Amino acid sequence: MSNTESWGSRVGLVLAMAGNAVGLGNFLRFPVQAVQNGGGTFIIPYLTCFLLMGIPLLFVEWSMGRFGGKFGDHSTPFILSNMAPKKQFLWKYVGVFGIFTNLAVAAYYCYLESWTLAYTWHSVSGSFHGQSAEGVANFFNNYVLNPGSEAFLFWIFCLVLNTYILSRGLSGGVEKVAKIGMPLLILFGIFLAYKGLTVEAGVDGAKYSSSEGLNFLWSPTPGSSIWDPKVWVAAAGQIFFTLSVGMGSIHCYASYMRKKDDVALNAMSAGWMNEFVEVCLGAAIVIPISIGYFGIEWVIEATKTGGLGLGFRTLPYLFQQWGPTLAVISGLFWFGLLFFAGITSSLAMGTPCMGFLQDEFKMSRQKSAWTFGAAIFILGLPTVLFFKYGVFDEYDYWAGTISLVVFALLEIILFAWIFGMEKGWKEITSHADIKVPSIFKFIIKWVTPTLLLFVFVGAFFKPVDNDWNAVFQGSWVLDDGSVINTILNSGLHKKIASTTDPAQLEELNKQLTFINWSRLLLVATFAGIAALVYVAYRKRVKEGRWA
Amino acid sequence: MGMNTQALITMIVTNLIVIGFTAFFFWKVLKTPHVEHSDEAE
Repeated sequence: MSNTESWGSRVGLVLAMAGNAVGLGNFLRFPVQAVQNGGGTFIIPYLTCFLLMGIPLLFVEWSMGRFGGKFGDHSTPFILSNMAPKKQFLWKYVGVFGIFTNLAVAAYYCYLESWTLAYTWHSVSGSFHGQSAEGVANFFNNYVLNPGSEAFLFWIFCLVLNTYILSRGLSGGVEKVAKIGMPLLILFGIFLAYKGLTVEAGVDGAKYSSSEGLNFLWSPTPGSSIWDPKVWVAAAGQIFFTLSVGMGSIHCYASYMRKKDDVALNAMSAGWMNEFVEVCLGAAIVIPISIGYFGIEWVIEATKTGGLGLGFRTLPYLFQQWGPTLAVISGLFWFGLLFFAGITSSLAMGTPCMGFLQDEFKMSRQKSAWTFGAAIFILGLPTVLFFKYGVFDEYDYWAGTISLVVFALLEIILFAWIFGMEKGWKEITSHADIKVPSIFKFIIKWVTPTLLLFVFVGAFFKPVDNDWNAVFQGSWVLDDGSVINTILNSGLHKKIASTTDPAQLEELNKQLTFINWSRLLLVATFAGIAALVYVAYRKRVKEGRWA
Repeated sequence: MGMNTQALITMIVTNLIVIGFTAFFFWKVLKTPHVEHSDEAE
């Protein structure tokens, strides 16, 4: 059975690619990163990194995908190996990242997606009506720490929904969802941004007006500097994760384009659409509303552990302050928006796995979709059952963060240095509907790999409190969040060493065990996919498809 | 209390840049005719 799918329309492809990039992070991660990295100071490094790293990586991944599609390859192992000289057979194993990441991220991301669905339901059914701030926060804690039948039901529903849409194919499933989901997401976002920008002190219980939050978000924070390396590492990291680069999903979507389709304009359009959702809508909702009710100090404290808390613990309570009707509408729009942001991304994670199974093992679309669904059910189950022991976070860290950086760094080396920039530039510019400035040739060869190297080093050897100034002054003490110390579980070991309460000690030891097991599971998944790639390679050799 | 000038300028300029590029490229996607390639089966 041959894999001959294609996109139904150009707009559908661009919306699906933009949907792939737009995720929960656009609304929950970006504003928090801005708050933590100097407010207005953050935006210049952020946009610079978009130009120097984001757009080049989009060009590279779109053109790699279209290149692979010419040879009938729709997943990274054989897209990469086709670009490398034949003696460098290891590249197909680098391509394993492009399947592994999607599988492992989809496994926990679908659970996160199911929270948005559950919260949409609870917002509409009025579960948060009349509850205190603490009550709404506890609702979330209880939902994720002690998942009951409801959490399972929503999770299974999400898995089945994703699988069903994927089984309908690109134009019949993914594209239709993108065409409905993206405009709705933008519409919901505009409504909530309007509400975020019009909070008035003294009205509906707000202590401060929106301008308080907006000043905080858009003015350079006193003491912050545009030359602070910490701000640049954070900006590069945000650009990297917001665009869904380094995953293999862009390659896969692009591989279903026709060989004379444009990549340059499509990539620019999808990339900028993601930026619109992130900068214009994402910055106007969570922070201005939360600061309006709780003030700056409280929000700084609340965002230290990320934006998820504000999105699920705080906003449902704040919506109640706007009266019963607006509370329902705002809750529906907020969690509906997050749901569409989530599902358009999780669908993109399914296609590389399906593409691989269809290309190499001649599976039908339906069979490959349900195989993917079963795989993310098995892989995702520990993240649901053992959320409180950090399994979810562990998946997010290794599959959703570190793997992306490693893969992106290797793929740009392959594209610019091994495949060669001359050939690479031809791939980017052939059949382009816009003129790509030739400066990008230099940027892709030199600047983007260097920036990626910074992100890579920043993740592996992150100093305490991300203080790179201290590093330049000769003091490089690794943070517990650096890859090195994370592997060693040093943060958890410190906690265990300082705990005297036996019950707490037992919980921490349990956490350590679960963390180590989840890592083992991820390694086994990677090894399993690598084994499948090897089998596929042998099959190709036997069938004479390995020239 | 309104927004301070610095924050207002940063916000407006950033939003205008992002909205401008987004609209421009999406408009170009919509406007550029879809080319049917006769040599697809090559």
